[in-house]
Amino acid sequence: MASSSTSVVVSNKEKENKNTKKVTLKSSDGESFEVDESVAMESQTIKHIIEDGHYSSLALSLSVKTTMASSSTSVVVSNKEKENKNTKKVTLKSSDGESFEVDESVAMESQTIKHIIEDGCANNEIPLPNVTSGILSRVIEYCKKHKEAAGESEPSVTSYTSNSTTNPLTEWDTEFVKVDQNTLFDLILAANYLDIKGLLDLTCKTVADMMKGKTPQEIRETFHIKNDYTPEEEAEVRKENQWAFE
Amino acid sequence: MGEREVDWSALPMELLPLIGKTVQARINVVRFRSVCTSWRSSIPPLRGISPPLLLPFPYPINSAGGQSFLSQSTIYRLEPPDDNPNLSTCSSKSWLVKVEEFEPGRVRLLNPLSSLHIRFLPDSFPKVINLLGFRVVEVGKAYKLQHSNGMDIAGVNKLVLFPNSAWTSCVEDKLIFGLFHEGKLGYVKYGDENWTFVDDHNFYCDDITVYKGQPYVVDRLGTVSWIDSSMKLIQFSPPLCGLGNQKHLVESCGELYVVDRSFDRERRFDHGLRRYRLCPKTVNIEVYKLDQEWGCWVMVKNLGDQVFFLGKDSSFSVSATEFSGCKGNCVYFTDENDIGVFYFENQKTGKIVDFQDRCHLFWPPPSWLSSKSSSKC
Repeated sequence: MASSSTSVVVSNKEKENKNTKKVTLKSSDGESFEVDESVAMESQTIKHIIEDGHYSSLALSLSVKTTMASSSTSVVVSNKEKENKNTKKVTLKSSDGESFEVDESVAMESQTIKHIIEDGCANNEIPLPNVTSGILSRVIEYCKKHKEAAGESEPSVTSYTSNSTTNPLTEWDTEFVKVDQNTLFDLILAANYLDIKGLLDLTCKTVADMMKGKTPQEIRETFHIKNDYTPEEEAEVRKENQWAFE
Repeated sequence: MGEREVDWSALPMELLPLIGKTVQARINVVRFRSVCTSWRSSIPPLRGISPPLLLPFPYPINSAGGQSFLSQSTIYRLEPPDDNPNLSTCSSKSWLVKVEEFEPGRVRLLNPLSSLHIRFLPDSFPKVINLLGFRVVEVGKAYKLQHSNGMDIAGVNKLVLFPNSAWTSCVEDKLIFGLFHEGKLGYVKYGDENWTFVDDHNFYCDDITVYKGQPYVVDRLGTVSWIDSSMKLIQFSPPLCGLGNQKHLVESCGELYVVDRSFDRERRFDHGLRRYRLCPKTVNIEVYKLDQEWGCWVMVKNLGDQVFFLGKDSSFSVSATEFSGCKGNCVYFTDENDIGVFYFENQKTGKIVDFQDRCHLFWPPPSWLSSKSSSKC
């Protein structure tokens, strides 16, 4: 097996059998290696991590010696078995028949889905006839990201910037809603149907921002809306939009 | 996936109020209500601050007591839509204007820096402006405390309303922060009998502003703090240790800047009073930005296309490119009702009347304002 300076190489496949506990090692460039726990424990560092049990995912720098090569790399250790024991999964099915398997906790970001699960009606799959696969995958992406962020302990901030109102995901959210009008429209409807407050607020605010600095006629043109005021209403609108100088 | 045109009128009616409520600026709420009947009926009309908000008299100012009124004025940038016939011939494509809406639909035109009422309008200036024909962007808000006869109350340096969104028209939500003579910081909730003062003898507050939904203050040393819900001051930055006499907080492009202003302390002959008196004039301006990663101040030598305004009751910034023909990288300020401008490129200050060739963002008003716009509302 060839080794590169950034990947962890593991040997001794014979030791593997169906019953041994496995761990997954992830290199800095994102490659995952599932290995026997006993093999991984050749590394004292990994051994201590596993014995302490303090990992779901950890990043560390290791110097790994194997029979093939030694390399210095940073790896992420995760306990796949622990994951499998604790995370329940649900399957969501879009209107066009695509299935998405997600962690139950992520799916429950949607109050609608939460109620379905709690009512015990989620047997195999939860069908979502109002949401297409394209939109559903985006919604899942949003829920995953926000669930992750909620679960993380305090992100490292200096005392100078810790301010209870700053949302650490603001930048990610801003990029998330940089989509065409069709997608935005569908996201709003999906967020409303699935009852995901954060996503609904975000998409509504995005629509409101599209109106900034435009004349009412320009707003109508942006949103393809017709001016349907009666002459009386038109006069009222004009009055509301008027400055008479003293 | 084809490019189908989105039919926004198919949006469920229950979502319209949700969208409307996320709108922060008053003008945008009015715009929202001006689009079509379903949008109009989805959110109620805003009540203004008129009649002006009744507040107790700030105690250290005048023990004669009585009531004071909070009046609000707003700074806007007006821009005609692209089809305005006079646009190409005009020197500026935007107009910076400050108005006080003392009654619905009736406004006083104010000087954006000195906040004085501009009473004498040129003949070409329209008596009524129909805003439906213009793009309007809210740039900032300013507040004043007045006697019942409309006179400003002396000794009040700055006021901010918190929270400062258009929806704070429910009086119960309103909290007003005030900076008074000698840098005292106080606050009052609508309905309180008295102002409460943040009593810290070492604390001299130079400026206050609401930034990203939180009230921030800067003290004489240039330390920026924010005020939490229990009215405690939480330090946000180290002291600036600038050499100036007065610090200001200005928001520009989403970031918070501290402007450090130096005065000379010369006595000048006042022709009106016919004697010498202390008239501080601004001689130097420095701008600092907080490097949030390292927690230290960095001097900003060039503002790019940004123009900062240090007004009497509000500070704000605009982009010079939106006012075509104007140069950025400068700071407008006011010294006792005189207006000056400081240019960073040559580090010079000057009175506004000296720089005739420079574009004035707010006066005289551009010609497209009074033209009969062809666009229908």
